[in-house]
Amino acid sequence: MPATYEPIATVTLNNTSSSVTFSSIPATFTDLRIVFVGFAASGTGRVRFNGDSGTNYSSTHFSGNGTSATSSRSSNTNQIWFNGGDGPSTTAPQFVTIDIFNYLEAVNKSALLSTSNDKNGSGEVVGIVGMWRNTSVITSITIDNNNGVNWTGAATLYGIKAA
Amino acid sequence: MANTYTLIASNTLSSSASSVTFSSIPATFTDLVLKISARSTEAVADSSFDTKFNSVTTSTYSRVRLRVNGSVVSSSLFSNASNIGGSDNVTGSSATANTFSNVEIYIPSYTVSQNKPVSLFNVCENNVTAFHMNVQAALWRNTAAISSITMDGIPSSGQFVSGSSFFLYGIKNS
Repeated sequence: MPATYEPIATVTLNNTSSSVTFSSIPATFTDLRIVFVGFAASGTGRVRFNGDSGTNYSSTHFSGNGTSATSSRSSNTNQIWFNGGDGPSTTAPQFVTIDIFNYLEAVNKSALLSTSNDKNGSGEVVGIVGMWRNTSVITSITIDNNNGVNWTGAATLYGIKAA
Repeated sequence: MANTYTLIASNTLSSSASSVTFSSIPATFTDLVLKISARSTEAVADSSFDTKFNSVTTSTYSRVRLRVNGSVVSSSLFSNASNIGGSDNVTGSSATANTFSNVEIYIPSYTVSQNKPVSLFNVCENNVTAFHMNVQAALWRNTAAISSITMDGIPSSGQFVSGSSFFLYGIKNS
C-alpha cells in the first residue's frame, strides 16, 4: 500500500505570532489535514485559504459547552471560525483538526473542522462544516487569532493521497 | 516522505477481558490514535468504559460531552474526574446481537510537556431503541509524556467481549 498520510510541514508556535501560514502547498495530494494544538490568552481561532479575506466563506456549527447543545450557521463571512462561544486559554490547550477535501479540484472547497477545548469545568466541543466559495487550487492556509493574540503550541499540515 | 500513520500495537480479544492496556508506548511519534470496536458483557443496551493514562487515577481528568440519541441533543461537563468516562460509549449485552460500538480517541502532542487535550468520538447503533453518539473534548492535567493507555470496563459487570478489537496508531509530523 502506498504512503497516503504524509507530513508536509510543521510549525512550532512560541508565543511570538498570532498566525501560522502553510504556503506553497504541493499539488500532489488529494486531501489535506491540519492538526493544531494551541494555547492563547484570548480571542477566537479562524482559518482562511489563499490569503482570501473576502466574504466567500460559510459554515454550519454544532457545539456543546456542558450546559447547552446548539447549532448555528454563518453565511458570507470572511473566515471559518473554529471556536464556538469559548475561546482558547493559556492553561488548557485546544485541539483542532481541519480536513480539507479535494483541494486541487476546480470546485468550491469544503472543510470539516473539529475543536476539542475542555478546561476542567468549562470549555466546549465543536463540529463545523465549512465552505470556501472559490474554485482555485488551495496553495496556502492561514490559521490565526482574530484578536491578534499570540499562539503557543504547534500546527502540522498532512497530505492524504487517494492513490 | 515516509508514511507516518503507523500501527503501534493491536489487541483483538480471544476471550472476555475487564481491561485493555497499551503500555511502553514509544515516544517517537507526535500524535496517537486509538480505533476501537467493542461490546460489553454488562446487561444493558449501552455500557461504558473509561480511559486512563499512565495508570493515573487522581482527579486530573475532565471532559465536555455533546450527546445525541436520536431524539435529544444535550451537553454535560465532567470536571476533576479520576478518568475519562465513556458515557455509554460501548454496546452492552442487551443490545442486538453482534453489534459493536465504534470509538476513536485522538491524543495529539502526547510527549509534549503540557496538559494533554483529547478528542473522543463514539457511535453505538442498535436498530431498536435510541442509542448514543458522543463527541467529547477531554483534558488530562498532567505534563508527563503518555506511555500507557488503559481502558477499563464497568467494574464487576462490564467486560469487553471476545472479538472486541483495539488498534493503537502513531502519527509522526516529520
